[in-house]
Amino acid sequence: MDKPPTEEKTREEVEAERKAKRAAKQERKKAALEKQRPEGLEIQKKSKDPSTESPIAADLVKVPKPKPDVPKAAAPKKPSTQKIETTKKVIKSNKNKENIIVKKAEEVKPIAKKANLVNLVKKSAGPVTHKVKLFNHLYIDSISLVTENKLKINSGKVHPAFIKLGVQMQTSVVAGSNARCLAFLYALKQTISDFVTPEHKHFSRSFEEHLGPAIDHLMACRPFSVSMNNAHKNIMSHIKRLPHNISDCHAKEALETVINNYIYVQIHMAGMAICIAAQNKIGKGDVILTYGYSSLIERILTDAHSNNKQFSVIVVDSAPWYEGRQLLHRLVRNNIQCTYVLLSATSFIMTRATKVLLGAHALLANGYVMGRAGSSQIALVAKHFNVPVLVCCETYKFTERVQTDSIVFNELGNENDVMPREQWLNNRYLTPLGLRYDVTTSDLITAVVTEIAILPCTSVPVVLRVRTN
Amino acid sequence: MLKEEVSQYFSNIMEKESDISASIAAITTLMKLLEHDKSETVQELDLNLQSAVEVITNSSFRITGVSSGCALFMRFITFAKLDNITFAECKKVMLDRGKVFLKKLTDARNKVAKITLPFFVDGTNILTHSKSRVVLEAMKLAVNSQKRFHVFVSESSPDKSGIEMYDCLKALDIPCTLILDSAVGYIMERVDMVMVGAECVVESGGIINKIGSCTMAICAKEFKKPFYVLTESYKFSRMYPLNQKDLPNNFKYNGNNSNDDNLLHAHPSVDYTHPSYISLLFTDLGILMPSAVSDELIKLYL
Repeated sequence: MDKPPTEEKTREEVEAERKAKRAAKQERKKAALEKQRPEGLEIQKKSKDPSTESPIAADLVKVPKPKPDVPKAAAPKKPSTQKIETTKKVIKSNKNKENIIVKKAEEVKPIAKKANLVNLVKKSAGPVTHKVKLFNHLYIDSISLVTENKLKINSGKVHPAFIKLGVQMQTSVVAGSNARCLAFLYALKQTISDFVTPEHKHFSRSFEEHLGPAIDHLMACRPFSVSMNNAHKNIMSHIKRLPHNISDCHAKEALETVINNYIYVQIHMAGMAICIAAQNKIGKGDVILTYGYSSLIERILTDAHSNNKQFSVIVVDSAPWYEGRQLLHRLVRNNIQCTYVLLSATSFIMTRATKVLLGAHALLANGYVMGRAGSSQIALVAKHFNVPVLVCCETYKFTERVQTDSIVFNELGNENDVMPREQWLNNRYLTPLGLRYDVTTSDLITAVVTEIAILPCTSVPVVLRVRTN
Repeated sequence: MLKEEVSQYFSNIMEKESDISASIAAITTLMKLLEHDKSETVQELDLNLQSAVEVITNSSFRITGVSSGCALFMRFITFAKLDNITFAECKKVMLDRGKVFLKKLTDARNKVAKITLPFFVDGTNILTHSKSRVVLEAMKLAVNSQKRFHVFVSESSPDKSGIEMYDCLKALDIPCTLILDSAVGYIMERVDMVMVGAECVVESGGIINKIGSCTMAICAKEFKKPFYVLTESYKFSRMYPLNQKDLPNNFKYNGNNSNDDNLLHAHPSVDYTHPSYISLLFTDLGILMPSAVSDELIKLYL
């Protein structure tokens, strides 16, 4: 049995469970307060959704016989509703096969050791929804998305390259603005080369239709980064401009050059130009402070070091992802003198820094910088200590969007990274929140290093205007 | 023209004609070179011009704004490079363009003076620093338009160019007071606005100007007085200093000591004023916010 789909499955189980809880909550609202005790079981019976039954039932089945935790589930890949039911059977009949429910049951068990079964059921089906209200719009209703996705994947409409990429993005194997964009473009290239225009249809239109489900699938796995959005838009505009009577062969050739060109000019060459520009700003004896991991910053620093610039680096890092360690690892391997601190020590270490170099996820039209959560704190502290802050960002990450806070548009990371699952899952007063990005105001940024020039970040709209022309 | 000749010609203009800024002097020199050049191809001419620019920027004068002026000039005339005409014709086109360009530059100052005029309100007290030809021109126009205002001029060490400014203002019958550099904080509460020129406007919208401008700007900000910069647009330069340390040494120190290893005891002659201290820039392109400078530069060079 292949592994990625089974992982999907476990995820689905969790989602099913959540949905059950949601249903339970609604039911509870209707019910009187004194009915609290038997309600858990009642709901179970009342519930019309077949998916609600499975996790609870599984709990009942599994609790007395907890198994050692093996994260990999082993249920076959099948369309959703049927699947959940079959899963139930599989679990019942085949107790050797492990899935996440076992894990959950284990988590519940120590808390509810002395409680009776009813209580246990009540707890697991309880109305605890872990959502921070302010960020309600960011939670993806992944239960429906995943279901939809399953259908899509099985329908054969999504190119395998995109399925693979989806899993890679979901599991953060492919992470980082540049890497994600590159991976996306490579997947797109494969899709293009494997695409065959149906008879009596135009290449451009049918390809757009063909690509739709793949893009939706990818979006469901993880929302697009600005870089991916821009790349997608750019390539699509090229596809639309293809002449109607073009042959498949020529169209593919043309698009491949377009994509290759995009990768070369917008990503590689831009990176190189930024490297050169940023290096000019690194003087002898500079102490560069950087935060988290950015492929571009790594490139700048290693390049500068190989050009015999004398400087040292302070890598600031933070929970929960500790991406700075990756940067630290690579810099140290290149014999660059490094200091490693956590975000909490920023104000202490900032007095020693002479420049701050930050990567960016995107630059917004009002000059604000969207970066890894924590960047704005770094910029704020740097401003306070009068240390110039340079943001390094290719112009293909510039966007027309305007945003003044980190709430409206953001992405949620996995809550389990913030805090172990068992600590919050059954505590209705505790909701972990893992925001991926934050927004830094333009007045905290001294300059943006782009491939065009070193610019103040208020020039983003001009660059956008120039780019479209 | 040989390198020595170029250098000679340039320093000649700089010494004799005090009314001409270094950029214009440099461009005049380049024009002269263009006229007398005996090269056969556009490529060769280009190289000659470039080496001349190098000679000029390495001269002992303060050349903060020169490089941007020269870069603009080269850009402007080389638009004329056409493939289907002879070299002689091409050179003629370049010369004509050069003349147009030079005229545009010399007109720029009057343009700035004109757009600044409404800001001279009767009875205002203006503080200025060092000597700036644009500021002088603007004040001249204002006083000729029957505006009544009082000017405070800081002495501006070490070359005391403020005294020169003071004399010029007196000659124009503008009421003025000479103050010490160290009295900027003292006088700030009495003035209504600060008006300075600039040697160079950088991409951030900040300016590089005679040392002491930064102090004045910070002081003005603290006292909530507007800090206006009067400058021609050819002084816009594609550089981005992050702080004072990041300024190139040949800007800060003149030719005599910029090659010294030990600059610890040398006094810098210019400083960088951060855009956040600047209220507005009056240029021949119009009245700009500091953030608009990079927009103009992008339009010019991309």
